[in-house]
Amino acid sequence: MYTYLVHDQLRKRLSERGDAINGKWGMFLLAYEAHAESITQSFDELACLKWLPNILPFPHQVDTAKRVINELRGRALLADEVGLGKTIEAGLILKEYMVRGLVKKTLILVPASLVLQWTRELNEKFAVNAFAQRNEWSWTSYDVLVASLDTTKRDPHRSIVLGQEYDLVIVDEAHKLKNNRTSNWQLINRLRKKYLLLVTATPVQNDLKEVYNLIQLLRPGQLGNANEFASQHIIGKRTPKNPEALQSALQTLMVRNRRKENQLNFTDRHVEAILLDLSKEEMTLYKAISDFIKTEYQTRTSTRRSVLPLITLQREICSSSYAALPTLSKLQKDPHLTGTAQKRLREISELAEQVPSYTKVVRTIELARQIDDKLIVFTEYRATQDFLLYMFQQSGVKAVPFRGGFKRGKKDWMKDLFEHRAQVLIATEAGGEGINLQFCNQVVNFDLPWNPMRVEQRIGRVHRLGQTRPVYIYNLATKDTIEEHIVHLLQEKINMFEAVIGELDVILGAQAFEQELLQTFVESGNEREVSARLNVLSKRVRRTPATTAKER
Amino acid sequence: MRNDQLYTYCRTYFSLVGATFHPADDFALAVELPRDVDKELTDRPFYWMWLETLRETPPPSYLYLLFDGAPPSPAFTALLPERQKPEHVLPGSYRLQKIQQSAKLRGSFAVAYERTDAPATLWPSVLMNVKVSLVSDRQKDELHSLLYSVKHSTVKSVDMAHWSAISLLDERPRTTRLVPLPIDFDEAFTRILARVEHELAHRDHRWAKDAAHRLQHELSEMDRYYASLDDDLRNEAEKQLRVEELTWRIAPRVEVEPVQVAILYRTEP
Repeated sequence: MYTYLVHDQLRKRLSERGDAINGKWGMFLLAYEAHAESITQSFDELACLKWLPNILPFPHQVDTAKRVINELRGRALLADEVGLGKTIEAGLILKEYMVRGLVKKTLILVPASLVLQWTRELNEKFAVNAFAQRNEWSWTSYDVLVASLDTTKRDPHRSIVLGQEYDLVIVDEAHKLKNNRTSNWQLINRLRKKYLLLVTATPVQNDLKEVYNLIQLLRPGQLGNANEFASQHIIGKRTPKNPEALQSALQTLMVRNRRKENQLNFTDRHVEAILLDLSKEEMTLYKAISDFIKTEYQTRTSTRRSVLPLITLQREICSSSYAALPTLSKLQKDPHLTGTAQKRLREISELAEQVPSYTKVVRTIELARQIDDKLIVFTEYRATQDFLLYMFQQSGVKAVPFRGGFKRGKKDWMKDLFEHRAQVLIATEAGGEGINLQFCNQVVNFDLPWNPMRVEQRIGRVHRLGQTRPVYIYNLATKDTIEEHIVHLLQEKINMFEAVIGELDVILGAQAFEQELLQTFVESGNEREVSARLNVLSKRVRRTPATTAKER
Repeated sequence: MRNDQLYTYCRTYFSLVGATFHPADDFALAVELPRDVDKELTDRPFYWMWLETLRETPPPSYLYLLFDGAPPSPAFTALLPERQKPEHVLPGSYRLQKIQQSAKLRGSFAVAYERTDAPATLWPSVLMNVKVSLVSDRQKDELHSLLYSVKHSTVKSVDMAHWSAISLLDERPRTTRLVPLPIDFDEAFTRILARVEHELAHRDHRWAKDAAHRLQHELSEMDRYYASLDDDLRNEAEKQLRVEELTWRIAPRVEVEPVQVAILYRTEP
């Protein structure tokens, strides 16, 4: 029924001493006390709690760790909403397995930007001797190693990692494993591992197959084979046939805590939309670009060409004319473009050059001065980020940039500069992923993503466990533009900022949402039609929490 | 362990390893470490390798430890060298882990004598502490204490609390005589471990039955899944890896590890 193993190290050590025993009785008793202290006398309890000097986990985090160990048996998808402390949960599980001696060799794969943060947190909060991967020797030198997924999947690292066995593998931001044809997914699938934790707040972004691919890594066949899954659970790409059945199938492998279900002391959120009037020149440019997009959208849909560049352009021009410049210049080189469209684009470029000042930028700087405290300005675009940085510098307000492309050390440096020296952090989306900035409680959305989950990711940087002050969110929007609709939709209709819609990610994919928004804008004849269509869209989204709540 | 217990534990440890104590607050310790202890309590293998290669004598290391979470007194702070911060010793803290690791290593073996002032004959017994772990995808441990009488070749379970409470000596009392009974450690280990195995074999191992059943269930589900795939999608190497992982994770096993052994000389054989 069980294998019986006897470890004979003590006998060997005694033999090496020629069976001559010596040693003090007092030390023998101290050693016994240490052994007695370190054994775990129950299968169910979380023994690590008494070994955590620097952290007091929240009840939902302790419950999650217990559930993963006792019920999900160490292979799980940790999919809490943003800001509930998934890292702490994963750390607790790791520590518990280490205390019990079930885990020694551990690999933690995270985005490059989070390697140092994970390493530091494991050392400081969990007293786990974790190391950040630095070179190809790191893989074999350390028991607990934190590495970037992108580095790990490249040789020579990949071959070394695949040649070892791991007691525990943790993958943070595991939505990067959503596609089973990618090298990310293949790497995790081929790794030899005992326990596996996949950590993500967004297990589904665009397609229900994504969650299937994640589950396949944890327990192949849990949701049947791909055909069975499709026939039993999917109606459309993003619509489950029977949400209850899917949820019940997922429950044996997934934990998802929601803010509203947990009695957590989150501070208040205050949201304010700041509506701005564009200058005459800015409005002329905006209208010219919108008209161009409408015309080009019809041409492209009739010839079945991609409308993606148009979505990008429409979103960019809502941010700043700087953000739109790269896409405009790329479009000018498009060989399919008609002569008239080419001419129109040239005129637009000229209009862009004639804009004398930038309303949103001026208002953002004013806002920073009024707030007189740490402030994060989020933009989706690199060009806008650079421009904002320049303008802040010109106005004498200290600002630092933060983005996904920075190397690890630079990210840490920027975070430290922001904490201790600068007033403003200007961050792009990718840069914001996973970093904790609880010391700041003011967020300006210079432009808004068209994807509600990304809005939540942004706010989650500051409005998370550990934030002690109320959080203030300012959404900048220019009147009579698409942006005004977007802010209205996200803030008023979907109630994105006060109430978190955790269910949205399962029901509606990001790309679907963006595509539907663009269709609404280009296909509607007038403002009333836009409002009516957005109303319908928001109702579809708002309906989902109630449905899911009933399912639970 | 409570703060006062931690303090007593560490104070006893430093005293046993021959550290030099310097004046300190209540619930604080300022100790100068002997070199071998320094090596065990600080993670500096390259530092020691370098010093030993160059045959250098390093300056002694000091530890400044606080146990009650309170800030140190001005007098204690004055003791601290420049840039040196005192360490708070708490359950699970790095320093305590190192001290306990060192204690486990140094306390693996012992010889102890019953205290008596009267003339007496002392008989040897072997005391062994054995860690038993019941392991599948979860684990729990037990610590067994067993005493092997060399004279009678018998083994019995004992309570370590009893041995902790009575005062044993590191030196033979002058009034006593030791029975020159040769101790065969192979015999002692075999006898004690056989007793542990016997005791374990007669228990209800529902946890192991459940784990074995769960493993079988998982393996058959795995078979069903791979059998349902079309030939071009079926990957035998992948299936084999998943099967090995399942067995590695779930298969029940009992691990027995002797962790300490001592010879006790007592008046009772």
